[in-house]
This record gives sequence, C-alpha cells and structure tokens, in this order.
Amino acid sequence: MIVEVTRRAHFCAGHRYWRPEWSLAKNREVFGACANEHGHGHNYTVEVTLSGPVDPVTGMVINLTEVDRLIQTHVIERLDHKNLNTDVLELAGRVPTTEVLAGFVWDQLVSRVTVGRLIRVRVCESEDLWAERGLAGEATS
Amino acid sequence: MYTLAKRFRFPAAHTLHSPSLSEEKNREVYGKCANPTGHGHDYAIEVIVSGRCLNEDVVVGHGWLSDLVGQHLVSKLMFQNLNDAFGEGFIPTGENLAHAVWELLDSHLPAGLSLAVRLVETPKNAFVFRGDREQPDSKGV
Repeated sequence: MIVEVTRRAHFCAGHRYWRPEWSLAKNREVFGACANEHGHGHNYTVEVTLSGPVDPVTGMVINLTEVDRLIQTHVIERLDHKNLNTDVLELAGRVPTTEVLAGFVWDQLVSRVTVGRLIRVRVCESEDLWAERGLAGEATS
Repeated sequence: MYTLAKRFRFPAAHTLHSPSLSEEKNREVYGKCANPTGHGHDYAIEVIVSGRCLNEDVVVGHGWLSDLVGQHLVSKLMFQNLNDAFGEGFIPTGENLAHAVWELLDSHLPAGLSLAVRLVETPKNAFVFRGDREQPDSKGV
C-alpha cells in the first residue's frame, strides 16, 4: 500500500528579480514590480510530499518528526529571514523566482529522504502563486 | 481526462497506538499522538474522481458524490472515535485513514473512473491514496 504524505512549513524571506546583464527597462519589462530597486519579501509556504509503502506496524510511511527535522535543518534554517539574492550560496547568480526556490528545496531534500522518496515540492509565494518541482508523470495534488 | 474533487469535513477523535509495539516504543514512535485518552482533529477528506466527461458534461455528479459519502462515511467518521471506525487493531494514522476511505468508496464508483482520496489531518499534513499501483518513475524532471 503506497501513500503520499505531505508536510507543510513556512518561512519569510526577501528578494528582488533582477538580471544584472539586462537594462533597467528590460528587467522591468520581464519582472515588473518584482524588479523594484529596494526588493520586497513574502511569507512563503513549502509543501514537501513523499511517497512510500505504509509500515503495517506503525501505520506510517515515515515519522513526520523526521520530515520536520529535514525541512527545518535543510530548508527553513537556510531560507528563513534571509535575503535570497545574497544570503544563500546555492542561489548565487540566480533570479530567486518561485520556480528556482522549488528546485532549491528539491535539491536540498531529494538525497536526504531515505524512507520512501521525494515526489514533489511545492513552494507557495502567496496563497495565489506557487511552483512545483516533481517526478516525471506524477499527478499534482 | 477530467478530475472532479469535493471536500468533506469531519471532526473526530483518535489516539495512535500499535498493538505490535511496547508502551515505551509506542510513545517513542507516536510522541504526543500516543496519549491514551485521545485527542482529535478537524479532518477533511477530499474525494478526487478522474475520468472522461459524460454526455451531461460531468465526470460524476457532485450531488451523487455527496450522497455516496453521506451514506458510507458520515456515520462512520463524523464526531466518532476513529480507533473504532474500521475494526479492531486499526491504527488511525493519516495513511491508514486515506486507504480505508478509498476502500469504502472505490467499489461504488461507475466503471472507467479512477479515485484518489486525500485525507487532511491538520493544515500541516495530508495523505493521499490513489489505489494500488506502481511507484512513479524515480527520475526527476
């Protein structure tokens, strides 16, 4: 019996969408208000989904305290109250879009999940906008 | 293919205890969820039906879906103790509840439709059972 387990966590961070090799006009054209000079921030939500067989003894795929520990250590402590343009080594030179953040969270967790496996990461910039990184052919929920 | 999903909410009580484990191990695995006097959640079940649209331009009538859930689930779950809802020895984890609800509903669906059940225990965790099937391709995209 395979079940998908999703755990949600939160972080707050600042960013600016800006490509230094582009003109101000081009940055504004592509990124709109997200290119504003002073930056801005969001209250992000991360949803991490694992899939795996249910242990008949415990009735669980994985203990959620272990999922919490992974998310806290490798995602929240790296991103919470940070400037995503300057403070996160792996994002250096990238535009910290929601898509890029979903990829970052995926890369942080995919090899560290040893019970079941990671099938989807969703990063929500707000209630109205999110991006996902997942396995090929996997349904979004 | 089209998907229709409908959410049903039900407050209920449970405690987590595995008869195969010692008391000490139960406390270690389930933490505060092992409190023997129980606790509860505002659960939600999302019934997710996928398939072709019928002549009437619906996958399945959502009134019919409500009746199905009302008939098979409401008296079993609403304001009930989930430790007693699915027989002796049932451990009411999110994983097991998603599976048990899927088993109750799937055989009643018209042929050609596939069912997934998403059990939301709290705003922070959810569990999806899509039926017995192969695990997804492990290659990321």
